[in-house]
Amino acid sequence: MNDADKFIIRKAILELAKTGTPRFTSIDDEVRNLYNINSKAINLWDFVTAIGAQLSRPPYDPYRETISLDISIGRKRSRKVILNIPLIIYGNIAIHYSSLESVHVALNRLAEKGNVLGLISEIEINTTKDNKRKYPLFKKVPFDINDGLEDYKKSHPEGLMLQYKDETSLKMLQNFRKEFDGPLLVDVSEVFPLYIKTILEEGADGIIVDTDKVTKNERYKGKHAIAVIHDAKKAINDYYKGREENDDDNAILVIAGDVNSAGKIVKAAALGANVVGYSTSMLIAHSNMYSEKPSDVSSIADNVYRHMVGTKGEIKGIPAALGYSDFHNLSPSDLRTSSIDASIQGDIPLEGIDRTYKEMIEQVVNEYVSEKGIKLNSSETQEVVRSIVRE
Amino acid sequence: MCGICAVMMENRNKDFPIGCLLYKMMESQQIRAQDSTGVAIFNKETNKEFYKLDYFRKNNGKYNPVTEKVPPERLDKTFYELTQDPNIVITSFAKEMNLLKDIGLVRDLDAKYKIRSIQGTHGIGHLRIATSSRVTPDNAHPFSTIVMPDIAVVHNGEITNYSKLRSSLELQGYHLFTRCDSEVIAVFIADQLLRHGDLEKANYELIKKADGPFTYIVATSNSLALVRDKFGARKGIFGYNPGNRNYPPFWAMATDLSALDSVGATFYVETPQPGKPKIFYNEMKTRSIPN
Repeated sequence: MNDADKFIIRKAILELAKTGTPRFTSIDDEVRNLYNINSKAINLWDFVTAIGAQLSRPPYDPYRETISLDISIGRKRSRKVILNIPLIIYGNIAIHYSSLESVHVALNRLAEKGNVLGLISEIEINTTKDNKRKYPLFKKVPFDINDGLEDYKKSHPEGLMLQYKDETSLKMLQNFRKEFDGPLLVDVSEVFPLYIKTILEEGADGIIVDTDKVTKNERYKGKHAIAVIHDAKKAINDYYKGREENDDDNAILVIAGDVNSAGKIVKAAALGANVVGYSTSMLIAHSNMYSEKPSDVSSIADNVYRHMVGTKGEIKGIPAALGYSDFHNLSPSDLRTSSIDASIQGDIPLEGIDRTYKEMIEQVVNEYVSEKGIKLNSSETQEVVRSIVRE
Repeated sequence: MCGICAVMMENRNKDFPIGCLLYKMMESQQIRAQDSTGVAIFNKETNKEFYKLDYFRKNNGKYNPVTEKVPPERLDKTFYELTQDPNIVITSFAKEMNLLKDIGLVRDLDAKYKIRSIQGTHGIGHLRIATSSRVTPDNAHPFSTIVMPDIAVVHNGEITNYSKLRSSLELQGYHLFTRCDSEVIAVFIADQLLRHGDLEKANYELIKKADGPFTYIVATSNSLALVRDKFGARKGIFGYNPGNRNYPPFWAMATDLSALDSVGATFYVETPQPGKPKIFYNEMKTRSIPN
């Protein structure tokens, strides 16, 4: 930060102190690129990169050393689901039976080769002895269901997925938790960021957040998916704060929505996602993009299979380059951004500075406060910082 | 490319100036690192009634060392007050441990604290060359923790997933004072010891969770553990000196063989297997190599 920036920030602090309100226009709106000329929020994913190997972090060799992608879903339940690739096929749009057939064939082939992925679906494929399901199914339960769990138990799903709409969903969650001992995932996109603590208290094994849905909410207007992931992880961490639980047994965060490429999967994982909900329609579109074959069940399944194997290789490569033997060791400190807004929304360090924008502002505030002999406690300091960065 | 070393006197011998052995070993490895230096020496005879807190008070870029003796009943209040002040970095919480560290060479540390004359049952030493955090006295090793007294760690290498480990410890409510990956080792081991009290199990747990190339030595009031990462990417070696009529027998650990040579610990020389901690207890009386 140069002297001119410091001067402007100090001026903002003085104004804030005098008037009690933050400046109407932040000094760095233009730098922050909040909106482009069409007033449309820009895609901050493009401003976030993973920092590779450096002096203090020699890389692993993914051809020689094992880079684990495994994730266990189920907290302390007796029945857990282990995914070998941290992906669950799940989309906003209900999956069509014919698409499901292709996905089923592809997931079975992947599972046979030790690449187990999950599937969240309301409908399911009619399995015979020959095409028995070999991957974990999370049966989607509609939010307005009045019946018991019996129907859902018939298909022997490994897990269940509930959609949380309002307080009535809580009763449903409590009932299902009593009757079902497998992993229970709860989609909170409609109510995000509320109720997460309550849902975890009631024994949910994971929270699903759809970034596309959440960013359309009034509360997240103008914010990007990275802010949603950051806040969702923070909410889960707040629940675990001060608890002595083994972090292997913690509830997982599933991020669905616009995370649909290997690069975004890695960035989402670094920001806090444990599993990515990979949109079904996007999966099929991706895998058929360059296909010249007619789209029958087996050719789509072939493409889905190849796409997933390729994605697995790509998402293993980045943690290896960062010096990790486990994909889930990724954290926000592995990312850098050239955008001040991305730094604020995702708490991501800025390129070349290795500190977040908030940390920089906090330092300037602390220096100014100490220089002028002003007494501010830490919560007041945070309030000033929040006002300046307009969080 | 830091340098680490440790000495464990046999038969709980506490009268030998162990600082002298650490000084020799550190001097022989000085070529590895020149940024900062530190030692932690344990002596059961010291300081029985009070806890000793060492900390740096930062003021205009200067680090002023402060030592405070705190009675057990005032410990919580003192910790609360000190951890609220962002300019305080607690470097040592001890009953039996004497932890001294600063920037500069080992001879500078000796000129300041006379480390060669410090007696004890066991001790560890460190020479630092900075890779991931700044060259300041608070980032020098050994690292201690306020989670439990008499834990010190010296470390050569990098914990690459330091951020993840750090945030999981902070979630549990632990306070970390620096951005150095080595502090995470001290807090992690202390947390594990609070859970089950087993130093070997604590180290296995860390090896399982930590990524990157590293060798570290953990010192507690009655033991030392020499640990290498699961791939054995960093060096670590130990040896035995059977003693003579002028000095008692002892085990020595270091990064380089030259350090063992410098104190004559050239018997039963071995390197720990990657991912398998070697634990030395100060009640060991035989010359058998510990499992």
